Amino acid sequence: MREITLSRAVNEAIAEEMRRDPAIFLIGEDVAEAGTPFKVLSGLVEEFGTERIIDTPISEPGFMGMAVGAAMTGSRPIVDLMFGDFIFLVMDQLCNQAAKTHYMSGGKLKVPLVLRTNLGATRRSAAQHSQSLHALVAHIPGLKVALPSSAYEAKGLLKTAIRDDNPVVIFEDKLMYNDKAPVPEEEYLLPFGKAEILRQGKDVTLVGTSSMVQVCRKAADLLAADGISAEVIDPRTIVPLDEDTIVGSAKKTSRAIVVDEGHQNFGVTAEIAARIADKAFYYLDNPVQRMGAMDVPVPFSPALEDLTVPTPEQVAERARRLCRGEI
Amino acid sequence: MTHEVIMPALGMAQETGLLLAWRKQPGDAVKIGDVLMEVETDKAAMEVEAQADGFVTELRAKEGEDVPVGAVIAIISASMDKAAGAPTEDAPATPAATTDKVDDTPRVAPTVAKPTPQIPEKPKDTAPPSEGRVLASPKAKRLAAEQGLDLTRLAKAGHPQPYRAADLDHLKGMHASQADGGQVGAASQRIFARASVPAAPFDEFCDWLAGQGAVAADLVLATFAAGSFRSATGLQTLAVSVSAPRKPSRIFQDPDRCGLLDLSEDEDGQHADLIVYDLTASRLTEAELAATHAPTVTIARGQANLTVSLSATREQLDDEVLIAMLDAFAGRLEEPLRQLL
Repeated sequence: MREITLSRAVNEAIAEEMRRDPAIFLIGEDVAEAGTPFKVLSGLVEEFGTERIIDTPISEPGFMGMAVGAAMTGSRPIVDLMFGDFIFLVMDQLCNQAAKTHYMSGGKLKVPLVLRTNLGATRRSAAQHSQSLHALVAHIPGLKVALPSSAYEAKGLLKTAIRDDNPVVIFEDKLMYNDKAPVPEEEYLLPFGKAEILRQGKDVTLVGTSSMVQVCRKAADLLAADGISAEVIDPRTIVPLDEDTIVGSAKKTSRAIVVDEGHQNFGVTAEIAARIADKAFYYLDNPVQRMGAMDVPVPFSPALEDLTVPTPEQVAERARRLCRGEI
Repeated sequence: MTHEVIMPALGMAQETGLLLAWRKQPGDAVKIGDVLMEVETDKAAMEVEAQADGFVTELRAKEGEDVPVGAVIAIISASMDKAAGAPTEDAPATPAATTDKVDDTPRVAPTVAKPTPQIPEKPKDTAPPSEGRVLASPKAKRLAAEQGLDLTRLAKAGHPQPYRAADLDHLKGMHASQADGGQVGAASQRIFARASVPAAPFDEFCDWLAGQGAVAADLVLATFAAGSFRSATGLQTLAVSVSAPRKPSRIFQDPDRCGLLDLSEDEDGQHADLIVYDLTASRLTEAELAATHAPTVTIARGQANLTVSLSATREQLDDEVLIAMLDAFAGRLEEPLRQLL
């Protein structure tokens, strides 16, 4: 199978869907000729023109509000939010309007909108361009949240998001845009709420999201060398969450570590760990472990920034201690 | 160092136990394994052994009292000093203390007594009193409960807490070795029941038999015992050994299958399925005999009663059979003509 970058996979997903459905348009900052700072959208404006690939002024609340209104009135907008950190600017449009309109209109209105943005630190972008804020929107009923961890998932989940009649926020890992992975030529969609078991194991379950999926896979390799068999699960979407697969795995292995790049406090790791503790309680041999980003603003200093994100070595060491009964 | 003796859970759904008799009194020295008391549940009467060495310093429950499972009913102390000054079971304060326990125990009992059905004598007292709850993972607790393992034994053995599923292997080893040693293994645990019937019908029957021929009373007992045992167990063939003080023991093969007047000793019989001790001609009113290779029936004479008891290990009889056997045997003594039907 051919291998393409995550960036290319996203580009293909948008192009394929825009060809299929003329109601789809894309709006955001530097999305046309510039093709975004990460060059994800290169070539789209040439194919679809400036009517459907719309550059905006630097005004996130403005273009987000436009997109919500357009979605309510029959269009299917894809909003490009240059950095996930800017989600704070569009919270009212996203959480008070897009998330609630279907409910408050008694089902008469729908908001088929995709907010494409990113997460991930260690790109030396400092505290305001390095956050992983998916927990914020996962907290709001009415929003779906997808966290692709590879080019394959990025394409399949984005296409599903675009076809969904509800607002979906999809976070891409901005450090992964140039990572290649096998992606089929033919069309495919990936369902929401269906986790992927990337590796079977019997001693400990590693649940990783987005950027942390690779961390968990590498940790599993390290653990295998020690004779510890780790099962690696990628939920793919956290809203909806495939609780059955995660809980089933935790029951099987009796131990679980949840790894996510958002801040650990009140975050995605807390939610998933709580569901495991709740549903798999009588099968657990150790407390469920959470490993999130350090609860500090992401430092600009490279040496310090690298310390804030869980590494394969740290995950593996936590798993070893769990299996030895030290935790 | 004191040791609290609690009313043990001898059955799965048991809430209270009837204290039949204390075998030790305040001031008595006890050793682990000594019979401390006799307890009756809705299923059977059982002897309960002491789980600590020392001296009985306090008996908090009275004989005949129905006590909630888990309630402290006696104290065993390491030193004699306390024993001398300890209140006796008649002390006025003790019934109140026992009653106070009633409210506490149902909440306490499930946590301490859950995995105990296989080792009923020691639901709680294996953990050092100061230690409190045993720390174990939810999985370890669930597996222990499912497999009837008692995590407090790991704590007593000094195995470091908290316990996880892997520690259960160690615990299983402890259970196995204890069972082999015959101490508290479920199979070798002794079960016991007793009944009392008026002596007159049996005596009149024996007198009438003696007038007819030459049948001794102890052989009649063997016949009755065999008949009751067969009806309770369904055994096809069975040999009964009869012993009495100052008489050689004799073995009879299927004594209940021949007429009483044709009863004869089986010279070849080696192994008895049932042992009968006839103490009616002795001064003994009761005897607790050590477990032997077969269930043992003891018959002793009181003032106007015969006291019959049946003692066996769990391996030999289960509770229902023990009860059915003794009930049938007592019934035959009460109405001897039933045996002839």
